[in-house]
Amino acid sequence: MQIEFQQAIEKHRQRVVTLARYSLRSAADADDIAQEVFVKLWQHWPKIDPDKQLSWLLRVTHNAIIDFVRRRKTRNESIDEAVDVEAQAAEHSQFDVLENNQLTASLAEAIRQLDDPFRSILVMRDIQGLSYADIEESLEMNASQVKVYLHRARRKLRADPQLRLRFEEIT
Amino acid sequence: MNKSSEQTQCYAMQLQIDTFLDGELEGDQHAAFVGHVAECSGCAHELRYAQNLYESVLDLPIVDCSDALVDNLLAISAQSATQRVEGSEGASAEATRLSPGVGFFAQLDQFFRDRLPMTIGFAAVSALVIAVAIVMAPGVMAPGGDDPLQPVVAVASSSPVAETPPFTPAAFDAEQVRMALEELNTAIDYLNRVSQQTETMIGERFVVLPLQQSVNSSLRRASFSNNEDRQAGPI
Repeated sequence: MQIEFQQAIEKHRQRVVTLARYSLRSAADADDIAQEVFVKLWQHWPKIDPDKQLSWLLRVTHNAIIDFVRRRKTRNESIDEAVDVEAQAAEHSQFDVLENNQLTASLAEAIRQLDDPFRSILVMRDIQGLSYADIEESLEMNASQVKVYLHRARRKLRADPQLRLRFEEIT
Repeated sequence: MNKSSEQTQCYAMQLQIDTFLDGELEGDQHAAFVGHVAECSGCAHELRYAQNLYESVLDLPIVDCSDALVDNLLAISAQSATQRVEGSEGASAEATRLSPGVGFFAQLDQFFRDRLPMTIGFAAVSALVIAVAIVMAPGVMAPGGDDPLQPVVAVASSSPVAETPPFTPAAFDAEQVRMALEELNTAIDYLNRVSQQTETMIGERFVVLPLQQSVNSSLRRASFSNNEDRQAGPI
């Protein structure tokens, strides 16, 4: 069972961490979410159909992110958080793959600003390239809902004035 | 075409940009979209921006976690697996100890575990066993009285010890004795279990053993004239 669990981690770790990382500013928080999700996978291992492991993991990650953001909001840490984010950005700028390029950093930040489920669907589909079927199963939506949310997410992204400015500077 | 209808048409076309980028625009809709973009510089500009942005999002990197995190997860799972194995072994041992025949005392055991501190539970069950032993020891019963449970102390106050008549075996029939022995065995089994749990609390002393020996001795002393075999359990 442990070998299978290890294989599952190897197979899905990038999916889970990517979803968390494009949702939360701090890489450490994203790692915490990933750890929480995989611990839950281990705890519920016998009950989870191996064929549905990915959708289960993505659903649990999605819910864990929502809970995390909610907890942080209720703790009213907005001022401290702003300081933290700057400190973390400086801390991670040397090695964080999302911070080492200005355009990538701007895009990642704009995606983080999206509400759920727009953000999760955009990350799953456009960044991770998941199939509509996987996204439907993960978020318990039908195909048309997923497409509507995806297109609205892209439109929201295009409507971000700072992002538009950044792109116009480049082109 | 007036400005208002142009704006409406541009808005409708821009709503289709994502469907177009996904390659899902077909037939007349595709032709109308391409035709409009070819003529409308505003929509063409919007389409270029949307396409650049879309491609940039597609190029965003996949992120991975550190190997330390994976090592930590594997350590957690290994530790948890060990605990599961130990837990299942412990559960089977518990099931063996609570084998059929315990019945009432198993429930009593559970009650004491759940509701009372271990020491109080131990004291209560000890008292119960002593009471059963007193009842079972025919030699200390009031002879031939109306109330067979009346203790010897009460008799002694009204008659000299020398005049105490010998025990009459007919006071309890064999079936009653057998049932009482069963009850007593079960109670002592229970006491053994409780004492094992209490051992650490009372300085590793196995306090039940003297009590068990005392009960056995008292039963041996009791006149069991027909020498019926006592095969039931630790007594």
